[in-house]
Amino acid sequence: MRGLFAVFLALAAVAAVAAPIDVAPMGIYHHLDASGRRNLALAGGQVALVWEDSRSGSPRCYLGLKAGGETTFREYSLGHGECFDPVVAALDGQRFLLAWEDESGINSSIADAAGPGASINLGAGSHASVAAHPVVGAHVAWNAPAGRWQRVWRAQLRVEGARLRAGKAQAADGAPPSDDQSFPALAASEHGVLLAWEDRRHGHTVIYASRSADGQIWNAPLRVSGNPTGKAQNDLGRGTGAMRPAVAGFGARFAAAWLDKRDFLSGYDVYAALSEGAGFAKDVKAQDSFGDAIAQWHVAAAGNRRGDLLIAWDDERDGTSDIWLTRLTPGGYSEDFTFPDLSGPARQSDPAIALDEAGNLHLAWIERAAGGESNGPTRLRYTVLPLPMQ
Amino acid sequence: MNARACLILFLACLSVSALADPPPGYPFVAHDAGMKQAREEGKPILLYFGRYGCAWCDHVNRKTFSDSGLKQLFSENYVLIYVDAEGGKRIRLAGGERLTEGELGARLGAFATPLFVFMTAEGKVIAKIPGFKTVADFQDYDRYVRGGHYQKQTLLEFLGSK
Repeated sequence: MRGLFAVFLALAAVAAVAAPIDVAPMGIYHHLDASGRRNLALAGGQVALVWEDSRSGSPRCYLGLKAGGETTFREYSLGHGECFDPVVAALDGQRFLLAWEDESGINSSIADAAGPGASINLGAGSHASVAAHPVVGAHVAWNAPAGRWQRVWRAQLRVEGARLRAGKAQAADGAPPSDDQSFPALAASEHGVLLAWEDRRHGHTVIYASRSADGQIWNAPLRVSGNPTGKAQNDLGRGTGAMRPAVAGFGARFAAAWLDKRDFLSGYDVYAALSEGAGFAKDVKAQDSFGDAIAQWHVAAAGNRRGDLLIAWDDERDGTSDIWLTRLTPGGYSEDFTFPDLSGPARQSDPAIALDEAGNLHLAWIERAAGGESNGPTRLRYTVLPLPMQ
Repeated sequence: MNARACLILFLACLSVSALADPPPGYPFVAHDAGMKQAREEGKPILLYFGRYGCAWCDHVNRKTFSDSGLKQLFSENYVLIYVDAEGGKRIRLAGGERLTEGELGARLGAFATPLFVFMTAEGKVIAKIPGFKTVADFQDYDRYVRGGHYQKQTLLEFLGSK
């Protein structure tokens, strides 16, 4: 199997479309930490990438825009003061929907080829996510305190030319919260809208989700992750962990992927569940068993209209952090694979991914120099690669 | 219930929510406050990296951290920091970088909880120790840290030379 894998790597190296682009100044701290890892989006041949970096001495958010064939991103700053977790989704035509958190709370705006437009403020909160599709409209979600607990909120965004108007914020779960909810992740397609989030109502962290077929009426939340709830032997603990859901629409379906600690001795593994009817099929481990003994981090998911689904993450199975991917095939998830630019002695991590309709994988990531400190300065890179044959 | 009692109950609830599952009775504080306190007091840091609902954290809290001698040792000689391994709260690293509590786990290579990270007062990592540990284990780690042995030996070398 390793031989086949090497052949695949060689083919992938030949087929790579272009050398990676260094998106922002190097030697500072870059973060791709959007809730749901939606830092990268494609619309009408345009590429949008959002990130946070420390070039000014404190965390600030940036938007990079480029046409598909261009080799540099035009850069625009977002927000006021310290800014975190910018997120982006395709809106319509060549436009994008943005959100970020700054000193004034959660903000959202539209960006076109000329950059971001006027923003609207949604109030205090953290970890925003956005998604849009012409059929189901534009949506934003975030978590904000509600009494003792953090609670996930969502709102529909009405697009009025170049401006946004926010509908009334609704709790993702109408029932009174009994513990924290956080890290919402949204995906939209012509088949509906999916909102997933971390939920601690069972005394440990699990993944919940709610769906809407039309962007107006939402189903009651249901649990998606099967990480066990309940005390361990000798009346210990309350259950294993699951965190940082990432979601994607692919074809007529949706996928949710997350980090799951049901095997609590070897760190988080990558699990995923696919929509089935109004609910979800049973979740499965999406990574292959070569990654079982080590921890996986930073799971991202991307799909496209023709039905491709890709899940990405980083792990250290080959000695240093590399970016690994798996693709959904008719027989289940493929063996994990990587590409030369995404692996090797440097530390490649924090993937953000998007798939175009031609089957190209657009990928941004954080890279630290080989042999450097795990907290050392970074570079922010982007590339586009052909999706491997199934 | 008078206003003062209500306030105490409210603050107690807030602290439970903010700190998830640290062992009871210890002066654990949040990351940034603890880093600042350690620099000011020149004390080493014990960072307890725990997960909400974690069975082995529960086990070490009940079996080990319930020891009154250990409680005195850590409370008097260390700045105690609790980090929620899945938390979304933002913290500031010694180098100035801002990231979430959960992201700190990726940086520390935290594959299991609890993870105990001993650090200098300046936030330099001395040793990372995962899993259930006994009172005697922690007494050894304390000798390694406060005895300054980490400057000349790895933890394994120190424990092997006992």
